Amino acid sequence: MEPWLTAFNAGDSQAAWDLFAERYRRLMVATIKRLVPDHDDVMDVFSTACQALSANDFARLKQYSDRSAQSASVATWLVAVVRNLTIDWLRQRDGRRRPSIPATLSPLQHEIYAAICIGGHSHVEAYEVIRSRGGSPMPFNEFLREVREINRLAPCSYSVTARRPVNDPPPAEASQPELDPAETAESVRRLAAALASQPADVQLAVNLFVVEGMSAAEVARLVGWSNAKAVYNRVTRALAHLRTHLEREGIGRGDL
Amino acid sequence: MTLTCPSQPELLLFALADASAAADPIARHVAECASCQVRVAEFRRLASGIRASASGEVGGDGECLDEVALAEFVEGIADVGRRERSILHLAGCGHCRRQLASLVDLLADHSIAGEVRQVERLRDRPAPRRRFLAGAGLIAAAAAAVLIVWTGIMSLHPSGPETRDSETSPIVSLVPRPLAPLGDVSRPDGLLWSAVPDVARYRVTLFTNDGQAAWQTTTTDTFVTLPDTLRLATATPHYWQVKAETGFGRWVESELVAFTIRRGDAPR
Repeated sequence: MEPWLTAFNAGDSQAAWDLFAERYRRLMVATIKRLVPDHDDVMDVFSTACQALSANDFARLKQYSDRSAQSASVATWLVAVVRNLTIDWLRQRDGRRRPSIPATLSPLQHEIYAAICIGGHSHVEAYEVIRSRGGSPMPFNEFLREVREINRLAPCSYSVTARRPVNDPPPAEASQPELDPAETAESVRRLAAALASQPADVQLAVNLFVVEGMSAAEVARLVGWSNAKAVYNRVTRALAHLRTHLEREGIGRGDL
Repeated sequence: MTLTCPSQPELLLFALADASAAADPIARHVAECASCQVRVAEFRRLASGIRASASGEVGGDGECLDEVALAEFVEGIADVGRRERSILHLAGCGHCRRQLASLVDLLADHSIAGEVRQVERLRDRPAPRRRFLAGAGLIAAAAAAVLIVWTGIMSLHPSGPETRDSETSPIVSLVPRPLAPLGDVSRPDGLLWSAVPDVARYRVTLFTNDGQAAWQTTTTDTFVTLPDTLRLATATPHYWQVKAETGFGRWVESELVAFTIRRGDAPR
């Protein structure tokens, strides 16, 4: 058992924290540095993370300690914790900075930015939210063009997802081909429904591989499939199934 | 153009990856094959549709994965039942999926992975400490075992297993061996270990009982003096290890050994 856990289980929380901080501070800083490019911010986040970890009589350490017998390593758990604390810190900071969204954004783009970047909505959800407020009946493909323009002008600052720095735009917008003008929110919703009818492991694999850009080998390991080839084959089959399903519903190539 | 069309998975990979890799044989084939171009376009349309529908919203069956559960899932140590429940939840919860993807990405980062290895090494280190803490009986048994082994070695090699001067010793170890201090000792002035042939230098590290490196130095000798500024507590085990550089970037290391300064000795 790790020394800090021994101290923690013995009821000496402060000693446990001292040992924990001494052993893991470098890992904490490395994690924060990966998420926050500005060096001055790194130490602010580190300080905040330390406060959060020791808050409520070290409640977070206790959460781990209570399940540590058969749990994941401290390091993996801590990276997850520090990641979340860093995202919280960035959200708070961006919340404070929200009024300084570049003036180049139009009122509509401002609204879209708020729904996607701050509200965390998907494109379809953001589209529905904005439309429900009684705005102009803008077609979905025009809405997506606005999203791409926003990502060029003012990308979401806390979009921390796989394989891209905090401030990079999501690859979906960066690399996707020009969408068909007839693309509709309804088609996308049906696509999501068709994917949801697949087995859970297939849904997860498709999302991790296609949306999050994770490597096939990593997806295979997480989902519990034999190897990367299984991911290629099963994701391909899933997409073929989606295509057939959509065609059966009358959604053709030009609609998506 | 090759006459055989790539397989569907190959086209999927091509469609999802950067298509600017023009030198790739699949890219060359697709550039000239109308039916493959249609398939690639279909894959891209489906992928962009899936991305457009993906949200970071909470959803899915069951509760969201907390940080412990997420770490367990990433390490693949959850039992079958919990794992299935996690997959079921992750399939429908964009919020947890993004956390999962982000955690996997962070753990793959070079500097973070380096720090993880470092702390894992420290975590694995306490084996000697556990033996030490197991009680006086175990220590006595261990000491007896060491004595038996030592006597056996001495009987085989009357001149001792090794001397400090490797040129005069009939037996030369390929790894350095800590010689002193070991076990219960008075306050030590330095650290002594056996020589390794053709060594460029030695690196010695002294650890506290919780695995923190308290002091480290590099030398070409087989003895170092501990600095006066180094404060070593009494009645607490300390560990030390010596590494020998036997070639450019090649190191061999001794086992980690312990010593404890007897209570009553003035701490350094």
